[in-house]
Amino acid sequence: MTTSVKDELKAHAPHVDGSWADEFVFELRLRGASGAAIGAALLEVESHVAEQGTSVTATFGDATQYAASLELPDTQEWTMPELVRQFVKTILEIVAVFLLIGGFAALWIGGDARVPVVELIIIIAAAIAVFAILSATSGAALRGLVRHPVLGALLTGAIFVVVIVAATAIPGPVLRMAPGIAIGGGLVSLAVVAVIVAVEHRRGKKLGDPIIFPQPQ
Amino acid sequence: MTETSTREWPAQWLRGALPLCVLRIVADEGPLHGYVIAQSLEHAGLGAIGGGTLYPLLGRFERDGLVTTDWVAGENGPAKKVYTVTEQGSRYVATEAARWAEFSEITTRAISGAQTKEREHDHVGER
Repeated sequence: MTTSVKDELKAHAPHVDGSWADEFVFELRLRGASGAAIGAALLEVESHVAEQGTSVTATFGDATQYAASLELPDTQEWTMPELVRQFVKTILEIVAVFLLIGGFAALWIGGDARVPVVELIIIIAAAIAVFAILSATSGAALRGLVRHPVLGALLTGAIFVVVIVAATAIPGPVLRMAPGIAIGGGLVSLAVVAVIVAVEHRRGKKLGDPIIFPQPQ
Repeated sequence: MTETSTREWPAQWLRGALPLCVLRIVADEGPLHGYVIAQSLEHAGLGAIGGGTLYPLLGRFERDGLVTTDWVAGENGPAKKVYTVTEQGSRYVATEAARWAEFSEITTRAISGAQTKEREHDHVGER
């Protein structure tokens, strides 16, 4: 959490312990709550604690458990078209990386750009599988990884090693093309990704969702 | 503060009765904000109900359409979210309060052993 966000939380909820507020906001973010819902929930805690004069932990208990108990709607949950767009974006980003690395390497070393097809397919499949697991578990898998950073790092590392070993060990065809075509293809892929992001933004899918504190009427 | 306000009741008892008590207080005394609802519950003898119990319940009422909410400016303090019971909420509390009274009577009779005594009395009468 950035210093400016921490300062903002402290300014709006001065009676709430800073680390409790950080944990509360973090858990609600992981659960996909909107910035407006998070602001309202925190201000209600502030209002209660300020009036009661006791510590936030004494009244509300553990920040993570309290955040979970509120059952705020997950506004980050993707619809099927959004999910498809995320998949397409992920595939295009990986293709772009392969094409650009192959293209620039060929310009540097000389000869054709080389794109290993099996490596590309395995990495795309692995990325989509991880993506699908995170989506299907409604963020529970992501929360587990964040809550257990050591286990998360080991698991992520293990997946990475397995994917790289599998990708390099399995022989397969290599696409050869002129460096200019590879670099051009990579740039076009990135341009399509940029268009998808712009469309999402125009349709209201927020790139950022700041915490908004309610204003009394 | 009354003597009853310091009482602590088993959590499993409160779990059953608390939603109706909260909704009744909001229906009778609302619009109210959370801290005042907690105080009313304490004065009613239900003990100190923490925010961690109260606000998830109020959030559920809001999602179910039993209450509406507004933010009002606090006097020398932060803004407050106040809860007002809806028509649907009023109907719900009236219906459920009647059912709870019936349930309470049955459980009181069962716990006090009145039913057992009545059955024993009936058996003696039959002989």
